[in-house]
Amino acid sequence: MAHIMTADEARKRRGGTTLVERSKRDPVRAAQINAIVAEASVEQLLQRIMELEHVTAAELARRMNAKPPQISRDLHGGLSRATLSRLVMIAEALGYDFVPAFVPRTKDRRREKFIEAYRGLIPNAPAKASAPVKSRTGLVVRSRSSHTKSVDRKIA
Amino acid sequence: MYRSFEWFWADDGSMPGFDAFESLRPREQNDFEGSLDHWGNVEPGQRPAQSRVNAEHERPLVLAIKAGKHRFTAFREPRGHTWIVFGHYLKEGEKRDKTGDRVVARTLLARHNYFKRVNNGTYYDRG
Repeated sequence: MAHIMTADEARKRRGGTTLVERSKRDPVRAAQINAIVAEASVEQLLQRIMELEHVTAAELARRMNAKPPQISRDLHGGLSRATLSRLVMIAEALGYDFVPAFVPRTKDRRREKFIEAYRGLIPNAPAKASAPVKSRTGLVVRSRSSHTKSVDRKIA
Repeated sequence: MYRSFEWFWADDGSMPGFDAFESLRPREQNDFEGSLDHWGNVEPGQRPAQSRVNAEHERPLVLAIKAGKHRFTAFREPRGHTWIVFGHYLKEGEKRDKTGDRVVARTLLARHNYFKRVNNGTYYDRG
């Protein structure tokens, strides 16, 4: 049977760079793309914590004395416009501490330890949120135990 | 990167997704590329942010990569971790409209076409 080439093999044969790599050569575009990635990672982290804590959007809304559509907006891009106090309130409602952190971009072992420790607190936390290259939105640190839960992984 | 992405290449040599991408404003292009960068780095088994990727069709799975109101539909190659970005539509309301439905339907046809051409060795094995 003839060998069927995969996308990866074809890409290797073509060589070259990716669209995102080319765009990121421009520092302004790189900063804008990185900011979008950081915001998405915070949103993903919140989704992950809600799964870990078995908290639905409706339950989070109840705990925050908010309307469910407000939480739904937060989980669908609204966090990009959230204030720090909003993030503190969300963390509080989930039983977490919101800890703003500016982490130096050095090759210091303490930086790695910090990131490792953070990832240890929230299993499978998004890599980019736990590796705080950008810390405009800070970190959310669990303050109580949690259990994992099977979730819909069709997109995963 | 856990995933990679490429534009669908049609029989007639066109790339509808890429054409749509090129017609976006620079900020919208950054938004789309931010979604790719985010999702590409999401560990297998984890869900991406809902504001960046969502399911448009199940069995076979078609996802939409988001950039504001813009949606780029994509399907996965049979082996490997590459998602093929096919088409584009604008999502103006809460629910997908008929234009969006048509793009998803065309994405399913494109997927069938892609699988057939890959198996025939006429997609990636071209000169």
